[in-house]
This record gives sequence, structure tokens and C-alpha cells, in this order.
Amino acid sequence: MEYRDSIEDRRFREEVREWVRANNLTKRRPDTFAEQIAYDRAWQRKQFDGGWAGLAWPKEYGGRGLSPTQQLIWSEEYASAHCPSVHDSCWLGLNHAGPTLIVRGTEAQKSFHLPRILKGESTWCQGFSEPNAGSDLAALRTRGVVDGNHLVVNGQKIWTSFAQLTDYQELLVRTGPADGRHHGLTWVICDMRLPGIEIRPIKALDGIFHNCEVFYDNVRIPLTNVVGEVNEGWSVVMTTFLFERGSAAFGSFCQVAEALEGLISYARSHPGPGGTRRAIEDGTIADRLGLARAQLQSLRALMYMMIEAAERNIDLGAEGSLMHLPYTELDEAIYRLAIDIFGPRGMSRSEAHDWIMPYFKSFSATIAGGTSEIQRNIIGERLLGLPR
Amino acid sequence: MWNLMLNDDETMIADSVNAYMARELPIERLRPKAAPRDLARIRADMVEHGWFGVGLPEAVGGSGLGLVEEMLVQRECGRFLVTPSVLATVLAAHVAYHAGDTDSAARMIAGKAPAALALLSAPDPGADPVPAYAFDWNQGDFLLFWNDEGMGVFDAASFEQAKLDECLDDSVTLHAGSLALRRPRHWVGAKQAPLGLRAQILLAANLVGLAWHACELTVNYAKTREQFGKPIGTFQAVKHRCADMALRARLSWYQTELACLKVQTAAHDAVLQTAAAKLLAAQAAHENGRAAVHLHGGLGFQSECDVHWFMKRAHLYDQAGGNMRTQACNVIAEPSPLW
Repeated sequence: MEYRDSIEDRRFREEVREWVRANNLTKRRPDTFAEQIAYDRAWQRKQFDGGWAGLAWPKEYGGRGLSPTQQLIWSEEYASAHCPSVHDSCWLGLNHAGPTLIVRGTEAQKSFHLPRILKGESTWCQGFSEPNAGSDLAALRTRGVVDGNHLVVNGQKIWTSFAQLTDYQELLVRTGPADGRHHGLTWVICDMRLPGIEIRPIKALDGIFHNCEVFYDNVRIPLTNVVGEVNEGWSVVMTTFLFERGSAAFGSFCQVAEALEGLISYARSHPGPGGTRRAIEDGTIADRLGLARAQLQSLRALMYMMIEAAERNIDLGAEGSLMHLPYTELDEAIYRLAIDIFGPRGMSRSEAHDWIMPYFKSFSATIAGGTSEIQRNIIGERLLGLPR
Repeated sequence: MWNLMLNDDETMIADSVNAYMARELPIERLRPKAAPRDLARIRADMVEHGWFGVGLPEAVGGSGLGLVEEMLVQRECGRFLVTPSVLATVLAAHVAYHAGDTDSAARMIAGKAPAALALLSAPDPGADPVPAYAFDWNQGDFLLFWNDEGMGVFDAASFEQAKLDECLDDSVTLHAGSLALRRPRHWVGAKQAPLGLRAQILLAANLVGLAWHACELTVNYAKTREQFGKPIGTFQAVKHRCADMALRARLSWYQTELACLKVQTAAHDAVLQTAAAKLLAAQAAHENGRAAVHLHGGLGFQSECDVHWFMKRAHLYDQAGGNMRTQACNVIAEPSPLW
């Protein structure tokens, strides 16, 4: 155990701080999808031009190849300057599809897609979940049949975020026997403009058409789009999840940490729901804020552990995927607390917009990427060795 | 960067303390019909290992190590429900040392002048003496008490009208009496040395030890106890509570390690991180203690089942140095801990 201060890291922090403060967008993210996509792409392009795209990606693929420590420093300064949410339409390409292609893609796939993702020229969506394959992903049924140089896809995906707005999809289909479970799956890059794809957006509880149903009717995808081998898709999915449960979390973690500090400042200077005294003077609110702040710091400590392990090439095993569960549950608790602190004001979608929307979104965080129950199974079985 | 992984030396310290305690102080010793232990010999062993003076200089008989090593020893003390007097004596030696009484410090480190943990009932401001409770106190022992203003060692004579009572945590004895606050043998102000922060780190480490051991025993039980023809650990209702226990134990430990380094480097957020560590460790010990009793079923309610001790000790250490409520207030009173 020790604290190690490095001059390079301090210089790096100053460099990042200067850049994010000088280049952060002054305009808020607009409300319509078309404008949002343009906004996200422009912001990504700006980061690319500044040399700040693909921080974790190896240099040979156009990334910065930063150490995990420096990635965290970037995330901290980015959040501190109140830059746009990292969870924008470029997120999946940068944190999911891109890293997966780097590890498992062909040279042709990498040289075509990676620069486009980095520059904000192409955006991605995910095509894993199906109506009967949610937590039980291995039950998926969407078929892929090899026909000459193509994979012909028939079936349906659901809960695909922003399918209607994105260019490519990481699509997981069954190419082997119907009852093959984890075997006989194939991970393929699907161009969302191909004929035979029908997209039906679904209105979510926050009023936004986040999620879509996607129908595939004899969609012909070139076999050159298969990532990994045909029937080896499950191992590619595991690569994808590794990133999602690892360092990709830094960005959103730091933004939630800033949000909580903002909430504490608000509670210090504004009346609570009762209206007679400052919110922070309410014992229950102070208790909940104190616990949330402490829990957030403990996740920061966990993050330091993960960074140290990564930099020393130590495999944390199941311990390395502990972050998701407490983080998503804390995220939900913090935004719920915000709504409680605002009192009647918290009912106003215009006055409390910046808290209500992430509050609603927090409900999806404990479902997407493995529900809290799946996460507890993983901890119970892989970390503690409890029987299945 | 804050490196929280133990290096080889630190691992060796933790492992050797653990091995000794597993052999000499297994929690089975607390069962109603267990054979009594030779506590005098065990204390002599602890002195021999240097566990009362880990963080004090060699000149006074200490080991010349730091708060990290002291914390590792205390985590194992928590794990094996060692008497709170070990913690109190460790802190008392620091008080004596900072007060310039190196002779007393050396005697404490040598096991010749034990101190007991004392907690005060919220007194009227200015009242003296104050209603006090001492744990595992023996006639003649010093008492250790601290508050926001500082930390003090008191002579046995300052503890008036001490009467033996039963403690909620019946692995320790309780004496109720009055402590004459105006007559400390030594008093070290908080500004002179941050002994209060040290105490909180060591208490948090003890609480983590409780939470961790409660989790381990429960997970082992869930793997072997069968109902409906299979181990109860296969049921999600049980498995998920075990997962939560493991998560609480780990997160509170990482937080305690982080706080320890923050105190050691006098970081701007040391107070906040320490309060957060004490808060989360107390929560982990309380909730893991409760879950451990529950998941052992009817057995868990019996005195010969070992898990109730963790639940009970959690209450004692939660009260010491300010309970969860106080820690939450301390966490929130501090400025932003962010970058």
C-alpha cells in the first residue's frame, strides 16, 4: 500500500484540464434526436482533432494508448469541467464495438471501422437481447444461415438503444443448432441500412424513444462482417462485456460523483421539502447524503484497485467485475435522493430536468448489461464459489 | 495514485497475525463450554510479536512501522473478536508517547500497563465526572477515551464507583462508573497529533474484520447445509444475501485502506475518507452480523453458534468514536473530496 505521486501524471492532469476547459461545448445538448446526433458527433470530432479520442485504444489503431491512471485523470477532469455526458450516441462504438474489433476483428474491419468511430463519423447500437432472451442471453433465437458469401438473418431483437439513429449494430445470431445455448452463436457487424431491416422505436418510461424492436427479414450480411469465427460468437461477447464492466465505467462514475457534489451544495444552500430550513439540516437527508458520499468514495477505492491491478498485470478474477452492481444501485439512490430533496420543485420537468432524466435513466442501469440479480449470481458463484 | 494492494511485507504481517489468532484465539473459544485460554501467555505472545507498538519507534520498544501495519493487525483482531483492550492499549501507548511519557509508552508496549476502552454517555456540557462504560476493564488498568478535542489516558482511580455489569456484547465485560474527565493522566489535543483519525482507522479495520469473518462463515455454511435436497447456497434468496455480504466487506475494506493512506499523507480529504471508512465498516459489520445470524437459521439463534458474536461486537465498535449517524454527519460536513 502506498501513495505514488508522479510528475508525468500531474503534468498530464494540467494538460487535460486546460484542454477540457478551453474546448468544452458552451451549448447544451439539444432535445431532438437529429440535433443530438449532430451534437454528439461534433463533440467527438472535436475530441478527435484535439488528440483525445480513444484514450484506452492502442496507438496503432489511432487511440492514445493511455495508462489506466491517465484514463481516470481524463475522466476526472472531463467531469469536473462539466463536459457532455459520456453516455451519448458515440459511447457504444467507443467503449463496446471498437474495443471488441481491436481484439477480435480482421484487419479490414479494423481499418474501416475504427477511424470512423474515433472521428464520430459512425455510431453503433447493440443487438443482443430478444423478447425471450434477456438475462438468459444464450437462449437467443434470431437465425443466421450461411448462404454463399453472406449470412442471411431472420428474427427479432429488442431493447436496442437508438437503433433508428445509428449506423452499425453489433449483432449476435444463432448459426448453430437451435438448442445449442452458448455454442453456435455468431457476432456480426450489421449495417443498419441493409434491406430487410425494420425498426420500431418504443417509448420508454421517461418519454424518450430510446429502445427499439428490430426485425430482420432475410437480411443479407457479407460474411466478411463476421467478427471472430462463425459459431464462436459467445467468446466475442465475453470480450465485449469485459470492457463494459472494466475501465469504460470511469467516465460515468466521475460524472455521477460530480452530480452528487452538486446535490450536496444544493442541499446546503436551499430549503428542504418542508420549506422551513435548509435541506441539509434534515437529519434523514443528511444521513442519506453522507452514506451516498461515503459509498461513492468506496467505489473510488475499488477503482484504484482495478487500475493498480491492470497496470501491474494482475488478474483480479471475479473481483474485477464487482463495480457494476454497487455503482448502478448507488446511481439510482443518488438521483432518487435528489428528487426527494427538491420536494415539489422535483415534480417540474422544466425546473428539475437535469435530475429527473438521469433519475429515470438510472432504472435502466440496474437492468442493462446484466441485471442486479445476474450480478449477484456472478459474485455468489464466481467470487464466493457458491453452487449453481 | 493510491495503491491499495498489499506488498509482500504487508501480506506477511497480515498472514502471520491471522495464523497466530486462528491457532490461539479461534472464535470457538467463546462457546459456552469451551476450555478457558491462558490469556496471560497469549498477551505475552502478543508483546513478543510487537502488536502493541507496531506504529511506535523502536526507541520505546515499538516496531517502527506505520499506520498501515497497525491497521492490518487490528483487522485480524476484529476477525477473531480479540478484546477491545488490545486496541485501547495500542492507542494509549500513542497517547503516552505524544505526551512525552516514553516510560509509560514502553510499559504499555511491553504489556505491563494495559488500558481499557471507555465510552461516555452524552453528558451535560461541563459535567464532571461523566457516566462512563469501560469494556474488559480490570482493576488497576488505565482507561482510554477520546472525543473531537483529543485523546486521553486515565488512571484507574479516575474511574469512580465502577460496578460490574453485563454487556450487550457478552464476549467482553462491562464496568459502569464515572470518569473524572478533568484528571487525565495524559491528554493529547487533536491539533497536536491526529490520534482520533488513527483510532477511527483502527476501529474501521476491526469492523471490517468482523464483517469479513461473518461473511466467510456464512458462505461456508451455505455451501454445506442442505435443505430440499441441495445446498442452501444454490437458492438465490441465500446466494444474493451472501453476495451483498461479500460486497460490503470488500468495499468497506478498500475504503479503510484508502482512508489509511490519506491519513498517512495528511491529504486534504483525510477526515472525510476516515469518517466514510468508519461509517461503511460499521454498516458492513452490522448488516453482515445480522445476515450471518439469519442465514444460519435456527442454529444461528443459539449461543454455541459462533456468528452472533460478530453482530454484538459490531454494536460496541459502532458506538466507539462516534456511531454511524455521527460519521454520516462528519462525511457531509467536509468539503468536496473530488479531484
